[in-house]
Amino acid sequence: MAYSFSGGISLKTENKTRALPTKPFAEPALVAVPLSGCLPAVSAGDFVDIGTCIGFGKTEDCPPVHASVSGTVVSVERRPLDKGGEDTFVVIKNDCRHTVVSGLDPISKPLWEIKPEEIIARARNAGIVDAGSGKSLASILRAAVGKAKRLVINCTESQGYESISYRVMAEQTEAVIKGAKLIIYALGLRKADLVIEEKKDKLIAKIEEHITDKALVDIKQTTSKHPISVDNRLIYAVYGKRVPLGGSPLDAGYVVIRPETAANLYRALSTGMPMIHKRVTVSGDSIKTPLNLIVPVGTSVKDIAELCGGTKKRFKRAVKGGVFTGYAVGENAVIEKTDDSLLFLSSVKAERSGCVRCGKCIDACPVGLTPSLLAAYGEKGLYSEGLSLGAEHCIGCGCCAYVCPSGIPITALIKKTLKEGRTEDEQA
Amino acid sequence: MSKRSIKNAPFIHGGVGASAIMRDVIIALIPALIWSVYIFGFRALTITVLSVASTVLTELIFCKATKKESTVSDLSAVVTGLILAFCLPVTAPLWMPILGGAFAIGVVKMPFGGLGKNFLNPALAGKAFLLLSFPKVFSGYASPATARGLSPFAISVKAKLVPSLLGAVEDGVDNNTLVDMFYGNMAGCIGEVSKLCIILGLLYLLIRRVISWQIPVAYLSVFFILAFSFPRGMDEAMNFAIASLLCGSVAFASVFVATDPVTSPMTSVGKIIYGVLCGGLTLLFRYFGSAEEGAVYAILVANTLVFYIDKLTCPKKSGGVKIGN
Repeated sequence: MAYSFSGGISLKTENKTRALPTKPFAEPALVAVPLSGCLPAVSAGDFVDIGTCIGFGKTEDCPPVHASVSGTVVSVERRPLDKGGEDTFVVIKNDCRHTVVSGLDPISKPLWEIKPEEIIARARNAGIVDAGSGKSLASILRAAVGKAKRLVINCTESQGYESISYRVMAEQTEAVIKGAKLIIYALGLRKADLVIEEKKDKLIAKIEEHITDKALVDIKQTTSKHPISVDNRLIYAVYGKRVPLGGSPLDAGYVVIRPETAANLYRALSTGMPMIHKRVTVSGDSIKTPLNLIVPVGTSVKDIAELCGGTKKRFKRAVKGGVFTGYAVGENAVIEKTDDSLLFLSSVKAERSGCVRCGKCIDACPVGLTPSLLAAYGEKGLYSEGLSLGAEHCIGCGCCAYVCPSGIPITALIKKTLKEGRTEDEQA
Repeated sequence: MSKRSIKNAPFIHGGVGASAIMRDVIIALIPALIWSVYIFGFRALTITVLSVASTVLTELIFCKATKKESTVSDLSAVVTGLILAFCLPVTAPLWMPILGGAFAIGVVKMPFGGLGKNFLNPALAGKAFLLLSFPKVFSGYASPATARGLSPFAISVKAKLVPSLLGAVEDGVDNNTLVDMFYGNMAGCIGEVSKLCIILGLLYLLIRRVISWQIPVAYLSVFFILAFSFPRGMDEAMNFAIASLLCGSVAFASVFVATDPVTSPMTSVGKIIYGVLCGGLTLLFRYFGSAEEGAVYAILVANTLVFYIDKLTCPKKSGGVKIGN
C-alpha cells in the first residue's frame, strides 16, 4: 500500500520524458553563472578553467560558486531575476577546450577515516545546492547535526513534466546510495529512506539490486498525486508527522534532499569536482523535442531551446520550477543550481465565471484550507480575514486553481493575500 | 463565454469549466425528458422547450439591460429551465413555464449577481412562486392516458385530474403500483415520475463527479428512516416508507435540486448536515404543511441556512479541523 494524503490531484497525462536518457550539453557559447549572493572572485578578462572558483561565499551557509565551462570572463554584472530581486552574474565565453582546474582533491582514504565535519566542509566547498529546498547541502547538514533522526531522499516528481529524479535514480543509482550513506555517516543517523512514487516497478527493481543493507537504505513507495513532491506533504504522507507552520522537515526530525544532491556529494568526494552541472528536464507542450539534459550551470534558456529543436508556433512562455508552482522566465534567464525543469508552454485559457461554490477546491486542497473563501477575500482586499482563515498554511501547490471550474486564479489570490496581509501587519 | 488567459502559476488547468458541469447535468436530465415525452405525450416537450426558452431569454435580456457580458453560454439557465419544467404538471397552461422561468432568472438569480451568487435555487423558487400563485394547477394531475390525448399547443387544457399519489400512500398501495411508481407509469409532474430515469441521472452525475454522494444519500436515507419510523395511515411501515420515497418530487429534488452547488454547502460535512436537514424538513412539510409536496419548501428553507452550515463546517485555524502542513 502506497503512502498517500487527502486532497491533491492525479494527473491523467503520462510523463513522457521519464523514458528519455539524460544527454550532456557541454557547448553553450556563453554561460552566465549566478553567484547567489557570493562575492565575485574574478573580473572581466580573466581566464577560468572548469571548476575555477569564481565566487566566494561570505558566510558558512553560502557556498562558493565555480566556473561551469573553461574560457574568458566577459563581464561581471548585476541582472534582475525573473522571480524577483537581482543577482550578480559572471558571464564566461566558452573556449570549448574543457580544461579542468588543477588541484582537484579527491578523497581516496576509506570512509571510516573521514571525519564527519570533513564531509560537511567538502559539501560546502563543492558548492552543492539542493534543488528541492533551494538551500546549500552544507547548511542543511550543519543544521541537522544532532537534530535529525532520518535521511529522506525525495525522488518523487508529481508536477507532470519533471523526470530528473527518475533519471538520476535510473542512471546514478550507485552514486545516490553512496551519497546517502555518506550523509548518514556525517550526521550519525541510522537509516535513509528512498521515497519513490508507486508503479515504477522497473526502477524500483533496479534500485533494489544496488541496496545491500535494507536496514540502512530502504525504499518507500508513495502515491503519485500532486503535490506529494513537496517535502512537508511527503513527510506527512509517509511518516504521519506534521511540520510546524513556517518550519522545515527538520523540525519533525527529517533531513530531506533530492537524489541528485546525494549523487553530487558522492561525486564531489570521489572526484573532487564541484557542482558545475545541473540536470534539467526540458519539456512542455511547445518544445519540439523534449529532453533530459545535463547542462553547465548558467546556460541560457535560449541556448536550451535551440538545442531542443526550437519552440513550436504556439509557444507563449518559458517556465522554471514546475507547471504548478513555477514562474515565467525570459529567454535570457539561465539554469541555476536549483532548477529541475525548464518548460516551454503554450498559452492556457480557462473558462472564467463567478464562483459556483462547488467545493472542488476544498476537496483538492492538501492542507485542508477553504481556497474559494480565501480567493474571495483576496479579491475583495480583505487580507486579515484571509489570514484568519489560515492563508499562511497555503503551500502554493496550485491544486485549487487547477480544478476550479470557474477559472478563478485562486492560488495567485492567496499569494496576494499573504503578501498584502503581511505588509498590513507590519504597518499596524 | 469569457475566458481567462493564465498568467500565474499554476500554468495549467484541469479543463473542466462551469459549462462542462452544466452540460453534464443536462445530459443527466435527458433520460427523464425522454420518458416524460413517452409517457405524457408531446405537451411535456412543449412545456420544457418554453421553460428553457424563457430562462435563457430572461438571462439574455437581463445581461443586455444591465450592460453585462452575456452569461448564457455557461448553460446554467438551460439547467434551470429544464428543472423548472420537470416540476410542472403536464396540464399546466403554456404561459406558466414562461412566467416561472422569467421569475426564476429575473427575480431569484440575476439580481443577486448571477450564477454562484443567488442564495435560493432559481428553479425551485420559480416552482414555489407558481405553487403559491396558482395552487389550482397543482391540485391534481392527469393520468398518462389522459395526458397523451392533450393538445401540445393549446394554451390551456381541460382534463380529468386525479389526485396525486401522495394521498394514496397513506391508504396503502399494492406492489404493482410500487413498480409503476418506480418506472414512472403514474400521474405527476413531467420529469419527476420516473425514479429509474432519476437513478440513471444520479449515476451519471456521480461517475462524472459533478455531484458528490453526500447530499442525495443523506437526504434520502433520513427521509426514508423518518418515514419508516413514523408511518401514517394503515399500511405497514416498510411499504409506506418505500411508497413515500417513490411518490412526489423527493427523489428528483434530492438528486437534481438539492445538489445544486450554488445553494448547497461546500464541505463534505456540511453537505451531510444539509442533506439531513432537507430530508427531515421534507417529511415535516409533507406531514404538517398545507401543500401536498414537502421537498420544494424543505430545500428552499435549507438553502437559507447554507451560509450558517458553511460557517460551521469550514475548517478554521482555531477550530483545527484538519488544517496543517
